[in-house]
Amino acid sequence: MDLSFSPEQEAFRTRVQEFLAEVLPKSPGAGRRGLPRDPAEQAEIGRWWEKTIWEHGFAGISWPQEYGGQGLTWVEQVIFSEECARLNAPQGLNGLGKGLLGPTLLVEGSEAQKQRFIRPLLMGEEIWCQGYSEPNAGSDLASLRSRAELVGDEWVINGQKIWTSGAHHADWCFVLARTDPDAPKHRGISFLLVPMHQPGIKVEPLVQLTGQAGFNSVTFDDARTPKENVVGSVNDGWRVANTVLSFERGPTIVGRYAGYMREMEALMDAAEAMPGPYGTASRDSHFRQRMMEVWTEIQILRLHGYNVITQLQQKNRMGPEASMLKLYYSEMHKRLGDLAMDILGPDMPFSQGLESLGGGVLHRAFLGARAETIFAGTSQIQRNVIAERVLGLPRDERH
Amino acid sequence: MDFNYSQEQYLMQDSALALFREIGGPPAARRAYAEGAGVARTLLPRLAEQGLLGGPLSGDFGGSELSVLDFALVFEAAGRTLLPFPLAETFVAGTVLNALASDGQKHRHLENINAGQTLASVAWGATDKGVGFTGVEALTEGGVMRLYGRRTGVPFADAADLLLVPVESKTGGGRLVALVNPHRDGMAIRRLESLDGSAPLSVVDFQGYELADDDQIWDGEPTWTLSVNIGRVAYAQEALGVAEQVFAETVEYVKVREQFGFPVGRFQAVKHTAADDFLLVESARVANRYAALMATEASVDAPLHIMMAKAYSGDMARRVTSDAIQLHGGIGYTWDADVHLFFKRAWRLASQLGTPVALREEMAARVIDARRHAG
Repeated sequence: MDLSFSPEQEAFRTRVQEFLAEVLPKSPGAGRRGLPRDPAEQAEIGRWWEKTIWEHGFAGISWPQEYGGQGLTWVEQVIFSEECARLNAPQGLNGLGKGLLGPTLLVEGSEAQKQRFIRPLLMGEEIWCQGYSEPNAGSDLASLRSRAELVGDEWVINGQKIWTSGAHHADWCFVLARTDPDAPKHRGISFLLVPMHQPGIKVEPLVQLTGQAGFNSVTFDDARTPKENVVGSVNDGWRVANTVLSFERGPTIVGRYAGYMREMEALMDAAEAMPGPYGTASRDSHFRQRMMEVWTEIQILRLHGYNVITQLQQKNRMGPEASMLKLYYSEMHKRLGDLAMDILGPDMPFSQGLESLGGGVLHRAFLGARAETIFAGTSQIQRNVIAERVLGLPRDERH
Repeated sequence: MDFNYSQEQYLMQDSALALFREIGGPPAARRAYAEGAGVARTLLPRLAEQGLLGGPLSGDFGGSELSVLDFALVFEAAGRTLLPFPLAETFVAGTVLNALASDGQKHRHLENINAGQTLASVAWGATDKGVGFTGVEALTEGGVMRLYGRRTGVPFADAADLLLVPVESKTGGGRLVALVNPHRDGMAIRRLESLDGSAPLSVVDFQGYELADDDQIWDGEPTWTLSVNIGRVAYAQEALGVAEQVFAETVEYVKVREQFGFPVGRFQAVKHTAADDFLLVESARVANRYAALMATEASVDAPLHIMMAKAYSGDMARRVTSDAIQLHGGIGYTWDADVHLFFKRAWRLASQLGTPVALREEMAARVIDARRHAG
């Protein structure tokens, strides 16, 4: 057992640190400054960040150089995520493109698709959104009803997608649509790449419980995309989509602990500042116990990360146990948020003023965590996956 | 970056587990419930034969100077098989004597420990419910040091030949760790009615026990701290083993137990409990792994991460073993089913050497209070 990184990996970390020291002071949303409340300004920061990391040679760290990546490994990707989280670097606007679409194209895409799409994605010139969930297909995603029909050289798409994060910024959407209505529900789905800027697509904002409109409803009304924009075989989209999910739930989680640790620091600051009947919350044994429980869970997330890195070095991919980490961090984050609000006590609704809802790290954690146990497979679905695919409990045929 | 045990460490676990399954397991645990600490003595020859008693000792005494990291997986195996033996205490005694004892002390004890001639234990429990020095005092009168007081929760004390005891000297010198023969004059051992009969515990009274010069290890503070830290890592690993064994058995059970025409493991209520427990077990596993590594590297953060692992593993094992009873249904509440043996062992391990609550309070002092003082 040896937790040190190789000299090459440490040199890479130093390069990342130098890069962040150079660019973060220029970023309005980084470091101790909160993000601006205006979503348009937030998006501009996210776009700027994508271009900045591309220009400095940190885009697509583990992706092949021939498509614009850096040709390194997951370990360097993890180091980069970790350093960014530690210093509160901005979130890029193309998270879905980089976290989901790119890795899928690299595995399932045709050579022409890789050549066409990956470089602009990495440069931040083409922003992607994900067209999966529908009003009646959430956890039961395979019952989706959006349809695509081949008419001449084009797919013609009709239907509605929902909870589509960032659709209002996106240039392209990767869409799951039914292409064989007579096949069993998992078998008649295709994975399509669809341009967003066309008359057949209507994007309508949905306001989240944070008060901001980060996601959307996207309606396809005879929307079109060229015939060749199907990833994998026609009607094989369910399998292609599951390639994506295993990436989605895997290594990108590793860098998260540094961000949670920053929130924990803010929480402990609040505990020092909040008076209560037994002294400050930081001196009240009830809160001390709960703080150390959450602190422990964050530390353990870091250790799960070491485990993931070890596995990635040996196998270069994650198995179904990646579901475990998604369940772990999202449920943990909820407890962190709840504890923070309990520490604020009667000031919970308005501590730090209303600004806290947009910029306050604790309120943002508290509210944002509600989404994390739902998106990318709810906690209930994650538990099913663990029980069936890891523990081998009998499948329920309904899913 | 390699956050995993080595091939050799896993091989040692495999062979230890094979032996423990043969000589331990629920039948041996039940024998300890019925017969008491003496069961441990019957296991000594086989454990010695496989070299599991002298792990931390130097080659001079037949060991191979194993660290707690090297041995961590063996403690896990002991937990999986409910081994009715003070394996953690044997390892602590070996480590402490090997590192800090005089040559004379080493020669008197280490070969015997390794050969299974001496059964060692540690007087963990202070009278203030902690694991500090409170409880036993030394008075030196006319050149003779005598011990007075009490320690509690001492594993297998009535079967042991050697006890490590933390002592506060009242007549100068500070703190020491005493090497005590519990069968000599001036000692009284009373077995406690313990919930976990697989690891009998006693109260040990010191009634003027005469402690020879060469039964004293001075610099008692670091000696005892080392003992407690290693003991905590070992207990955390035992708790992990206890939980993962009963969890594995429970998962197999819900695959075959049918109700409503299906195995109950097909129902989400059961699946979700199992998934949550799996997460807890795997999280304790990495926490313990890191604690064992920190302990072995003697990192400054080691005590904090050891407390964290012990607290988390204790809570984890209590929850997982309790869920195991629940998922077994009525049969899980019977004496004949083995589930309760795991449940009680988990609670005993969590309660000794620092309860989760006590450990978190100590952690809070190191994290929350230290942060305040650092400004």
